[in-house]
Amino acid sequence: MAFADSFPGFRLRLTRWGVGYLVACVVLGLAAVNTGNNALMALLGLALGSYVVSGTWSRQVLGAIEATVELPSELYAGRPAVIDIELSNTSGLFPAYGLVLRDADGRTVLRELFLATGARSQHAVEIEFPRRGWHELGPWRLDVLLPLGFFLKSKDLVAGRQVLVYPRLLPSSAASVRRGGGRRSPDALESRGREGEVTQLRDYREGDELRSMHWKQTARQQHLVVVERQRATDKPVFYVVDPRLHDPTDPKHLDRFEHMLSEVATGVVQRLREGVRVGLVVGPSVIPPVRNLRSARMLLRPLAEVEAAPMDAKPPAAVNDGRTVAFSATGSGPR
Amino acid sequence: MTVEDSRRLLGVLLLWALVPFPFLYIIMPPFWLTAAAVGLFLCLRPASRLRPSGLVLNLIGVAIIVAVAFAGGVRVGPLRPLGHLLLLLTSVRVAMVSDRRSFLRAILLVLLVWVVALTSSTHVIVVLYFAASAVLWWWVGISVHLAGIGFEIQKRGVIPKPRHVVAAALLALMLSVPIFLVLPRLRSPWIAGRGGVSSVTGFTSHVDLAGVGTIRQSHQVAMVVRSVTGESIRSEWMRLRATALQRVTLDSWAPRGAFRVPEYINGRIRLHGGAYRLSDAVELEIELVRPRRYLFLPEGTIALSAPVAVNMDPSGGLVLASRSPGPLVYSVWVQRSDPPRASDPPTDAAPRFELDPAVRELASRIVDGLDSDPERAKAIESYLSRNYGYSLSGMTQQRADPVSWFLLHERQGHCEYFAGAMVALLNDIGVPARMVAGFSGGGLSLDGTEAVIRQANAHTWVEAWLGENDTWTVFDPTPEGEIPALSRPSGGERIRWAVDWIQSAWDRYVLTFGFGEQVRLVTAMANWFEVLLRRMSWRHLPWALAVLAVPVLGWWIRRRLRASGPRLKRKVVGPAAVAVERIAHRLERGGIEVPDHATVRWIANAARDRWPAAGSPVGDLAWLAERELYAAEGPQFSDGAIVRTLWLRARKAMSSAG
Repeated sequence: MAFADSFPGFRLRLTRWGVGYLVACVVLGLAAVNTGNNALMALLGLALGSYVVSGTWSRQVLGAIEATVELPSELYAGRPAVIDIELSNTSGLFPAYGLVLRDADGRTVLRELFLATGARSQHAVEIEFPRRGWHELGPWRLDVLLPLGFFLKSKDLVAGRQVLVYPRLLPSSAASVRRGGGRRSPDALESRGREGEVTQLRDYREGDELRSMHWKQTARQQHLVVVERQRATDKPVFYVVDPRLHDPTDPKHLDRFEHMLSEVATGVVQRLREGVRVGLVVGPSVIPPVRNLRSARMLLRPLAEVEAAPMDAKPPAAVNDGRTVAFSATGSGPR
Repeated sequence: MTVEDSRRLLGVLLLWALVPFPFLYIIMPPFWLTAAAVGLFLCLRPASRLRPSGLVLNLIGVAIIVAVAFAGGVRVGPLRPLGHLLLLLTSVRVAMVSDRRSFLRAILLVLLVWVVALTSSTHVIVVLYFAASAVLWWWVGISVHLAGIGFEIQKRGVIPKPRHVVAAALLALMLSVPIFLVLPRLRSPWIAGRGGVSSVTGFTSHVDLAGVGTIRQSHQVAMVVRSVTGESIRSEWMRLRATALQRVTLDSWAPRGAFRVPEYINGRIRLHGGAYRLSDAVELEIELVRPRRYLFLPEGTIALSAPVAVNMDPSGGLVLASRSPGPLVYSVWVQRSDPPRASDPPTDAAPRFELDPAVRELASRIVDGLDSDPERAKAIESYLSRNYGYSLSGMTQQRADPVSWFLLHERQGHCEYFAGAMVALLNDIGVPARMVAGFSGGGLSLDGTEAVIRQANAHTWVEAWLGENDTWTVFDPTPEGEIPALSRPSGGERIRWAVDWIQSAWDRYVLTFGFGEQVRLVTAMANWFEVLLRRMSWRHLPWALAVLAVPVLGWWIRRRLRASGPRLKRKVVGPAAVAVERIAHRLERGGIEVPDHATVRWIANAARDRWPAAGSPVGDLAWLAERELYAAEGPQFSDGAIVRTLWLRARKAMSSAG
């Protein structure tokens, strides 16, 4: 196995303590050779022996530590995301002391005081992205200083990767009251009703409304049964986002634009939770409606990637099939 | 690590560093006692902090300088005042520790104190102290670094684990042995005195009165005397004479006269011709560890057999004709009864210096009323041994006339001052006298047939020409209790003898390990290798190569296996995980790089992207593999038949997709 495979991005830095130790060894060596004092020779031998042992130990630990990182499937701006990290010491001989995992900016992500041979430890690390969009999550590095700290050895433990951060989700009340994206919106109310035809009977699930209960069947079968009806207003809701701004470089406009995207994202998630089919129009592109939250990423991804455009850019595409809620950062509210 | 923890740790380390000082003479007790008190205070009351003002600190600084000066200053050489200074400064710095920065600075000073203590010790017990210190310093190093990067040291010694610290320290100690052996030796160990080119007893040939104290502290083995016939060694034989020294200047002594070739009879040197018969003598074998210039002869030696050429000086001392590497083994025959004495006539060369009038007055006062030379000599010997004290640490300053200073002012010193003073006083009253350098006493073995003589047994005494039988009469003015004696082990002293043996080995193979020993070691290894080659025929070569190749091959196979080993790096790998591993290999063969840190899910997603038709079985395999690897309740092996079916489906889909 090549060195680069075991120690990707290997770095070695002599610490101040290491410099002092080397100078002390040189002084000790001069004193020993000059005086012929064998106690000094033995001391120098111990110092150099400790140097070798410490270096071997830290190198073996550095090579033997591995990490498994599990990122959450959805990352939202401004919301702490929990990353599961599992550190494991694959060495059968060298225990690890004082492991420090740092992110690409050098901030300490986690510390591990002690990891015995062959042991694993699991950690949950919170990480927060302030803005939406693609983020370069640089390589995370493992620092090994122990046992005697002559050198700071480090390697890339977690490879760099790109992560997509969805727009910030706002408190549901704020979004729904102001922009009609929440459960109290006219669309949401319209989506409810008992006027549809019966499609099927099924077992009760948590969250089903009481008025959907089929009491006769419930009494007959001795467990809760609800009736599912076809919605009369089963038209999809399209959120239409107009990314055009008068001045795409103006920070105030950009702030407003970001807030608008957050409102759209919040509305999309809310609607999908209610079971409403939601589609999205971002500029000229149209994303067909989806029904459940598992498919929300199809809508959130363009919201995460969209950039503000000048006013001479193409206007949002027109949608005929379904109701639309339009968003624009230039002043026009939802339609 | 809190400040209290740091201060307590420093207290412990300081006390540990001070352990050897009570057994050494280089640091005076008030100084190490002060440091010990500070260490104890820190251990017991770590929360009490000293914040002296600038004025108080200045006063403490002045007090330290005054104390060091009062203790002798640089009169006794630079090492002792530096040691005193180091101890007091360390005590102050340690007591004032208030944060991590000052803690780290103080710990360096404590480390220096430990180095001074360790390197000043010569006893074999220092090996245990050295090994224990290695463990302690490793523990401190790990703990301090853990605290430095933000970890709290857990109390009750849990972290760092003692077994890890001990193992690391032992490894470092084991590595230190070959390093110790190969470090360059450019100077002789345990140098004493000012550099003379040759020496008699370990003193330089022109005896330097400032360097003897160091020799008298040394446990280095000078020689071993063995009885060839099995007869017990007697104490009267154990005054081993090198040569006689005349006072050349006020502060130096040297042998006088021209060498001559000794008389040989039947291949043996006969010191007194054929006057004595060898049949009346006992044969002793002397192993001189580090021959310098003279051979040492027990009192009453009549013959000698040596493997090297020797000359004889006028006083009967035998001088090596050329340099000889140690150890040098020679045999002597010692007269059992009525031992012969030196009989060379005294030289009449006038001294080239003027004696102090006060010394002359003292000499006449001592011998006042005595008529015969033997009575006068006896009176002087008795006067010196009763009225003057024995000391190794005094009289270390260079004086123009050290003998006069000893007699009139200091009134304490070691054997050379006593012998030198007696010679001066006898010369003053007209009695020819000379100082004799050699060794006295030693440590007897349990059966009494072997005696170990150390540098600490170095001694000087006096020979005076009293006109009796035309021989020199021996006197020893050193106080009786201070003359190195022959120590006889009692029945319960087997342990002591064993310790002595260890000490002897320590002296011989460690303390005095030098360039000569390095050369001998290399020579012995070369000889051993030569013998090995001679004994080994060519038909053994394949076996030898095979023995050498096995560990290398094992190491290489282990590396290969590790390189191509399971990417998932789990000790327990079930069938589904193995299948995922195979998928990873297929991905790599297909040109997709699978990083070492790839997870099961990563591999499955990559496989789905590469072979969409295999998505379903690959997904199932991944789910099973995750259960095998990450199930909270431990590894759960999947059903082999199911995994096999899934794998065959996946493989088929992958193969058909190309």
